Amino acid sequence: MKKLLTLGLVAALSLVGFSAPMTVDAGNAQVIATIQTGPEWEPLGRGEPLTVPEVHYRVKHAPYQSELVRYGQFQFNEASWTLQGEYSCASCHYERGQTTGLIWDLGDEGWGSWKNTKYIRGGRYLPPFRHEGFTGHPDEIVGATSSIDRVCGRDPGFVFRSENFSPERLEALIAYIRSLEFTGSPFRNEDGSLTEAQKRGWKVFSDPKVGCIECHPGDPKNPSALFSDAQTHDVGTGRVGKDGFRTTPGAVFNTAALERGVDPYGEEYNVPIIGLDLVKEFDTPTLRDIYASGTYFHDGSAETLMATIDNTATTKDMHGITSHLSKQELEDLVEFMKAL
Amino acid sequence: MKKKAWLLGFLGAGVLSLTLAQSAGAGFIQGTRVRTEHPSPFHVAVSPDGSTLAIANQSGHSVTFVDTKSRAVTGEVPVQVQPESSVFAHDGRTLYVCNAESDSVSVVDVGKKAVVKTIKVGDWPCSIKLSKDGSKAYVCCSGSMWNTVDIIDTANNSKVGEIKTTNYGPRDIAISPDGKTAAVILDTTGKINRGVDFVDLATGRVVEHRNIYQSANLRGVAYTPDGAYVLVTMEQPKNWLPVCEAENAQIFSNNLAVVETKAGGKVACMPLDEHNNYDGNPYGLAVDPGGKYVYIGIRSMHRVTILDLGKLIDIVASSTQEELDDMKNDLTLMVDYLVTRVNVGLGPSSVALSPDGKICYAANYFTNNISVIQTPVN
Repeated sequence: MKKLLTLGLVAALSLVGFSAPMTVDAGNAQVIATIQTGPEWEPLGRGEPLTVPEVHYRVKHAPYQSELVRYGQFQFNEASWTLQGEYSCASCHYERGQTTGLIWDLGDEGWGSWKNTKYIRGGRYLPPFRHEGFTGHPDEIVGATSSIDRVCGRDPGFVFRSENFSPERLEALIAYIRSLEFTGSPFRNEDGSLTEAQKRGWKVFSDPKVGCIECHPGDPKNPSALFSDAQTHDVGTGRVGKDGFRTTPGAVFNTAALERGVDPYGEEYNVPIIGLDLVKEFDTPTLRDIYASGTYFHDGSAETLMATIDNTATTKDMHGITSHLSKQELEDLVEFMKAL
Repeated sequence: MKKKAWLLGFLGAGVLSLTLAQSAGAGFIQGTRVRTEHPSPFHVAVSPDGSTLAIANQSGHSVTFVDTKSRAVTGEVPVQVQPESSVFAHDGRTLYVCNAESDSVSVVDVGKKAVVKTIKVGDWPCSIKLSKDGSKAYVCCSGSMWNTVDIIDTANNSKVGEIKTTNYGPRDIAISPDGKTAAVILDTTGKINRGVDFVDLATGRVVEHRNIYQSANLRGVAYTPDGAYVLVTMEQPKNWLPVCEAENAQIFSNNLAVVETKAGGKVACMPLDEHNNYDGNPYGLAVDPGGKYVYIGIRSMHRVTILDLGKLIDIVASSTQEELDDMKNDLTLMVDYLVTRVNVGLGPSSVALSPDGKICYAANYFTNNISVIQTPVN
């Protein structure tokens, strides 16, 4: 009897010894219930991998109220269809459809031409969609489709290394992106009017001698104003200099820095040193939500709004005539931009 | 009777729509301010006694209450636009809700299921935590050009001050176990090296900023129970390289930063990815009160990843900073501290634990539900 008890104890201990790690580590952790707090929802089927559709889609929807938009939002935040689940659209464009403000060399315009991650809220109002404006078809839907195709779909999922979008996925993604509206500025007075500094800044902004309003037309009282002429311009960014290195004044993006032994890929820099843009003219961005869409310029070379107007990131007086402005006037101009 | 109820419901919806339209204010068409039929649970909070869940519905512009025993919905309270976080007062009677797009905090009477006050705060409040004694609530105002953590006095429910962070975009805050310090993560747009501010709560001043090199999309922060480390969910963008290949985390990797809290301490970015199995977009996190496990909502891969905190900390404690720097891209490392990955609903953005650590709740954004997970502690 005693022997049997001992044997039983040994067997039990052995069992515990073998099973304990599994039970404690993984076996116990499981979903034991699901509490539904809203309508049940599941995404559309993935569909078979397809080539990019020849026909572009004209999407009609109410913002955020169609299933198509919901599915597009899901896909925007979905990593499982990208290679190995590494990242989603939201990794660069935020889950709020904004931007992380990081620059990337996607290679589709030639290697070495880093581009700032675009802020895509309100983007539907302003074709063309790429920094260079080369998806500038007059139909904004075609433009949007082309842009997504180009980066994510047509070149076997170039960025995502995934299969191409099925027509349903592409349509849904575009519907979601089109549904993203501007957030509006938090920097105005409670009643929506401009502060004193913003009023002074508006005066500078609308001064023809400064020239902001020429390419960024709009009236701060008009909630529909976009402050963009939807054209491309050379504002003194994207210079290709000696040995292919950017010669934009300021920062460290120049050959002198290299000669001093600066490591262009060092951890302390946000932007690599090489700038090999094939063109010098870039799309005029809207100034709506400009407070939320930094960094600025096509290559992210201006970290702050001040850097866009104080001639440190551009060739002198090519991005507006601002070199004669006082420090106070420049600061007022920044305050005005923050109000848009 | 039915007709009357229908009429009341109709009028109620009308009043709610008007309230939301007013709170949206003037300006452009505000797409995200449209209330949808999908509540989209973005954040889950557990009451101090563990009896109630509060779920912030980002698209439903409301808070849903759930009784944890019966697992039944007990009420829904409309708040302002885009609620992204909430916290219970220590007595469990009051809930503070951050309304991100309305720049406000709603004070909800939990018993009456009603908003009793709305407090104006800074741009895009998206996280709120209580001080150890419960007398103050700290609100992260994460706007792209905003750098404050606003302080609310919970005795009279009014804003009494603000903490200036060292850069824009304070995204989440954790209070140290001794209640003296706060760790605030800064998800600053455009910065490749984002980081953590350590704040002395007595003076409201930042005493140290620690960079997390090559980091973006900082989403959640939590202290370990001994206060020696803070854990931060993050992504590591490889944007200084041409985008030639995505394999082996060459574009993004998903990490958990482990930051030593002692001044000038080590900063590790421990991988959450394995070969062919990445934890895309890690979001909210929760640390087991016993200090054994950490739970992370993986929003874009629809699962909760559970790590063995002891093993994780052992690696960090026994390695030099140089060794830790080499580890952040090592996709073979995760197996050393991974307990398991639990598949949940779609888009788990937030996780929260019951007070005893035996149950983990995950708020699933897209499937409009809460997954109840039995933890290894159970």
